[in-house]
Amino acid sequence: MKKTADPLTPQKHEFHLLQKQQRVLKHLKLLLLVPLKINDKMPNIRLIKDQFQYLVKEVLVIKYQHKLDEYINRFQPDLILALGSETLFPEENIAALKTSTVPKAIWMSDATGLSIVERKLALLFDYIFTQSLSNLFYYEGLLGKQSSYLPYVADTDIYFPRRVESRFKSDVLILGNFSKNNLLQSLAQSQWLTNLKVTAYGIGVENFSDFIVAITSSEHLSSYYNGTRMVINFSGSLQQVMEVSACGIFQMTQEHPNLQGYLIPQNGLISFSTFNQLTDFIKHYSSHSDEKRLAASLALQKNKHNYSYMQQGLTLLNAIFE
Amino acid sequence: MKCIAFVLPQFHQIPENDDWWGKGFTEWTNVKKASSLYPEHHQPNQPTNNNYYDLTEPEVRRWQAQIAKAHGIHGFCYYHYWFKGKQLLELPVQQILTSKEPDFPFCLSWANEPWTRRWDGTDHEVLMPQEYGEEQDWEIHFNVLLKAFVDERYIRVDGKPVFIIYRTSNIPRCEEMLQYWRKLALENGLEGLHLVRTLGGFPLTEQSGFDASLEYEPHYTFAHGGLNFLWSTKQVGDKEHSVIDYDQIWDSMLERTPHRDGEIIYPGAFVNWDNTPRKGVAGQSTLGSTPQKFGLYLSRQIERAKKLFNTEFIFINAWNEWAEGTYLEPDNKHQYQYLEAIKEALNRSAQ
Repeated sequence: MKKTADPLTPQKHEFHLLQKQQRVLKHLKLLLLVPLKINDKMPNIRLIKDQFQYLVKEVLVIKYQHKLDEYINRFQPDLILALGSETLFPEENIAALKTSTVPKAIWMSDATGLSIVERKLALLFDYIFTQSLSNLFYYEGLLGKQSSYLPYVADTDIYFPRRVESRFKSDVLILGNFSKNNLLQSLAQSQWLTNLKVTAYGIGVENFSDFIVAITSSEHLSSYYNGTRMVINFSGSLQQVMEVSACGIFQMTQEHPNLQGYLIPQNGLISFSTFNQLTDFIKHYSSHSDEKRLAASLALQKNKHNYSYMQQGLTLLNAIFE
Repeated sequence: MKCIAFVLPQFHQIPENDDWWGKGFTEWTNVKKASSLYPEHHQPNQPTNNNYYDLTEPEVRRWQAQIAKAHGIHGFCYYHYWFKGKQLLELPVQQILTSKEPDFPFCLSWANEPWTRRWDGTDHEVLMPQEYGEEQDWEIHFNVLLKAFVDERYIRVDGKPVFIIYRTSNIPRCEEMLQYWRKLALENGLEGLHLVRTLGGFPLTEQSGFDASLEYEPHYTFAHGGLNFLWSTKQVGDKEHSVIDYDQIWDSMLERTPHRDGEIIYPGAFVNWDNTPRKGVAGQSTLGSTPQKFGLYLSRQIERAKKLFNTEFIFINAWNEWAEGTYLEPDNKHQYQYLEAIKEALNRSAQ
């Protein structure tokens, strides 16, 4: 039987843009579109599929390149959700997306900017979920689209607490853009890092390579996280904050709009906005290891409970369905 | 996985305790006089077959090792009481060293708190003060320890004898003392020392010189677990008695990050906590402990030790702290269930 026989399924494309559909989530069928290749920006598809299966009736994962209209007809999804935003769909699937009346959403992997591909993809979907608050302003300007800030969570297959080899160990690990961040530059040039083994990951770190060991690839980032005694995070990336938390490592974060609303108590995630605040915290936590451990444990637990793909998936579905 | 249980080398008469607590005092004195304070509170705890043993008897130590081994426990960690040249409760370990019996791994933990009338190491009415001295005293102490360190049963890491110190921040020149001992260890033909600091229920200052830290539970979690709703009270007569939720402590232990300050950490486990035999209503007891829960929690801690902490040791408090309600030895209520829980947990982790 055709799914359109369901009286609760909207017949008009415009309807669900104006009003959320009343649906029992556990009755929904979700068609997940994923790229052929994955990279650092992409979320863990296995985790997403697994967690969405707790929320909806059925999840089918296919590639961007599969013949979409065939799957729409055969699977009769209630929602099409595309993951990632680095490649465009084949022309035939763009046409299928445009003609389908099924609600269509994309969960962009747009943390590092806004590419032409992302701008094009945004036009194909009714609902846009972004990794970046600054991109959100762009998507909000698109007519007839509904957009939300919804970061991917930490990939717990990669980011989890463990002991690591000594080559990954450091006293302090810095995350952020060394070229653009004045506070970060002040720290790097200050006496606070003297006599410490400092590692760093971010743009411009090579200018400080005299005393900072630059992490040049993200390949072993989780090991570097697990090997440090303290992370100072200037990145403003909520995903990166979550990844550090998921490793059970103590971190201090520079205040940033992206981190507002992050559901970790203040005593779990220590935030700073001035150089003096930062240095006070460095001084304090360098000599209070068990406070550090308590904060890291709290962040680890809250991150696990508040930022799973089940939690984010529920937020995503609730933005579309009632 | 190597589970090591702390052993209290009390349970025998010593002149000092005769003086301080009355003729014939042993740990059993307090254990026997304990009473139930509220309906769910089980006291007095009684060893099976009225086995109120004397730890200076070789057959008792043989029996302990035998049942510990049979249930998968790797070894014992005996408390070592050293007060600048004066030792207390040393006889059981001395006998183990001289008799070479039982054939069971062991190590020592220097319980370096002063002895007080309150049983808690606080400086109220000190019975036996704790002092640390200088190099000459450290050497005398080391030479006493050396007799144990060279014993082939002594527990080692990378060939180095494991020596635990309880309250390290009380030691004024701790790092120097540790360096001095390491030097003496090499001079005496050892491969070095594996020195472990205890993370306990007291303020923990930053200290270097140790090879690892050890979570001493449940005290570490009491003090550093950040639990706001752990403690509650029960009305006992006209007094309030402190009650602790057994599961909350374990939950906190099992949710904690393995990272602290970059050091190796040996995770801890505890059987139960009830020090009312010593302190009566002023003591603390737990609600909700069972051998089954202990086994399940221990299983998870073993998994964490392997996967997160990357360590081969778990330290269990305790083998025989009867007056603190944390013991693995069989009693009339649970028989061998706590020991069986360890065996099952180890078997599960080995599968």
